[in-house]
Amino acid sequence: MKRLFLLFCLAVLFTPYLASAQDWRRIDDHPHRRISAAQMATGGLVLAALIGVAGYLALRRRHTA
Amino acid sequence: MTATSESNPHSQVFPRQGKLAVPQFSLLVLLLTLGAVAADQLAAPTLYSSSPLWALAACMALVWRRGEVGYDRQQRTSKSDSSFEREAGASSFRFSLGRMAIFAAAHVLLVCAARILQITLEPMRGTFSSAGWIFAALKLSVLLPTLLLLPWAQWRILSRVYLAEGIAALVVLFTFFPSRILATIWPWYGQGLGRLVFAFSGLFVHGLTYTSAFSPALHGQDLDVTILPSCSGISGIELFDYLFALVVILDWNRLRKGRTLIAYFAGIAAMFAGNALRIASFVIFGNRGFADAVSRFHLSAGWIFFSLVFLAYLSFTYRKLLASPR
Repeated sequence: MKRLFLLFCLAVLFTPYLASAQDWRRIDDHPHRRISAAQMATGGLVLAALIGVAGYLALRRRHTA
Repeated sequence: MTATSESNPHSQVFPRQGKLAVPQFSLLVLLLTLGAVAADQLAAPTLYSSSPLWALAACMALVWRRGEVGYDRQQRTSKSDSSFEREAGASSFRFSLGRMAIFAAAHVLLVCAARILQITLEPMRGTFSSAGWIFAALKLSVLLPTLLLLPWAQWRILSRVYLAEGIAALVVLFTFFPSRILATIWPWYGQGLGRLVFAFSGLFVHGLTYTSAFSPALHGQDLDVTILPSCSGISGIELFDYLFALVVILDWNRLRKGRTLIAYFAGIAAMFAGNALRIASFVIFGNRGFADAVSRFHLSAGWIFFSLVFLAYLSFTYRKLLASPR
């Protein structure tokens, strides 16, 4: 369960990078990665949910111990 | 149904042969209702609302989490508790075919009425007028046929056994997605939020001006911030709802129910205050050399900020929410 959770965290952290890697644009002959506001907001939402869940589980563990 | 012997201080209500235990029976009632409501909404899309579905799912999760129904004899304080024991012992919890038929007929009637009135009701859908509110309330009528499933005496017993779960389901039904309420009060709430942010940011940013409008705006030297209805804090409330629901479902048997209810509403207030602080921080940082970063990251940073507000609030209240172990 712990490994699955860590895997999910990694997936969330790398999703914006992978999403932006799909969209290479050449501006002034330099490739730029682009990530849309919606993608960033979704990444932020999932990261926020993860922080919330992880924080709660840590708090719960401390109070259960 | 009958109750266990007097010697067991944490007695449990369990079934006689051929009858269902209270939790199993209650879960079946909720499952039947969930199925019927989903079928109603599929057959008559006018009736669609996610609130009854979420409320039923939450109630099922809490009934399932609670598990075996028991009560502590040492905690009994009134005669009503012992009368509950007699009533629970005397009642037989099983489905009657006649009542099931009436339940199904009521749903069919509801769907037919909704389909006939569809053309009249459709323009009110999603509006924030009085008619829109009445229409939204009518969507909750899909829950009413469930009352026909059991006789009144059995509802009385179940409502006593699952009072806390029922209240939690009502909270989900009416407040889980408060976008309608926020959209209705936005003209006043938006002004209050704008003025609060302006008063707080003004302490740190010189030359800040405020424009009162449907979407209030704060004008600074480097960055202008317009507070749109989507900045009302609804996103933070929804995140809080999901995270708080997770806490409630996982810790249901350890929580003090009354305090949890108060903590939920206090948490909503804390998220509103957090939202004002979030917008104020954008105004302050945006006019202190971080305008580009604020413009680019304010959406994702906002979500993380809400999450941190939730954690700060939970770490402050969590210990008080838990019942002390015996």
